[in-house]
Amino acid sequence: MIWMHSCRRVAALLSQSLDEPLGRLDLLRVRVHLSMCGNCRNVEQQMLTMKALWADLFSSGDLSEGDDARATTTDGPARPTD
Amino acid sequence: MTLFQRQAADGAAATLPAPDRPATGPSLEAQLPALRQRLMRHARFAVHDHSLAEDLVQDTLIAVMEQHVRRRGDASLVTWATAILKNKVADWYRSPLRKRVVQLDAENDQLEQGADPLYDASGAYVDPVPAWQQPENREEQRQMMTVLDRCVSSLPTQTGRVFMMREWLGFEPAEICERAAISPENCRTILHRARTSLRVCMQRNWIDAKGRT
Repeated sequence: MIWMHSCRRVAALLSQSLDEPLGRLDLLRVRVHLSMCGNCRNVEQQMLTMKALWADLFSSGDLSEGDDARATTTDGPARPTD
Repeated sequence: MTLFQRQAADGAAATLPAPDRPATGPSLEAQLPALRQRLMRHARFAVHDHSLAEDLVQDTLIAVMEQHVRRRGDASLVTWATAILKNKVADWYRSPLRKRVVQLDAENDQLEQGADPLYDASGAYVDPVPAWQQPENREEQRQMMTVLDRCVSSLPTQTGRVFMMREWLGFEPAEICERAAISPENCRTILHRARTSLRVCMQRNWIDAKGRT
């Protein structure tokens, strides 16, 4: 089966869609491709998972579990109080 | 009690204590070392340069000391200080004197080698891409964050900067192009390669590693 976009191209467009709106045609092609391709759906899911994670990682200030901060986690909330 | 602590105590007494700084809580100075460590992690991510990160954190801590007494609102000290650091980093990126020309050729090659075996000649995935399990509990999420944290740190310097301008500072692509003196096409490519290499890094060091245990 010949898909309208390759997986390689879809991955680039998925990334681009996190930064700017896609053109109408590209958006359609991506949707059609995703409807047929489990790999690319999983890539999309992985990218969204990471996006949510680093929103947490970067915004909350709760970056405390790494090697050089292990002993310093007694202050501050574990989660932002929202 | 130093003069500064007395001022801080006076200031705290004059305002309603925020939930995270009860009147009996640790003094600001006692919290500074831990705060500094946290900020350093953010700053190193953001600029991928240790001594520059030191400078930015130093500036931030000075601002924290100066403004702490007048601070209002419920944000925790860490959240508040992180916001100040973010402004310092954004200022650094925006400063015309410090405009950085992004040198990407070598980095692109490096990332390209990481990403290329993903696809065959027709641009389809060589290996199946698995669905990721969501972290099951707080501890798993913490571990996942730690892995992601390492993966972001391992991005090549300039790629990491472009990525952080976008994902941490929230710059629009147009501003990134201007600050880093790159074309929109180049910017898209860099962000895409950064995300791909993070995805692959997470797969290898989180998902696959978890499967082995």
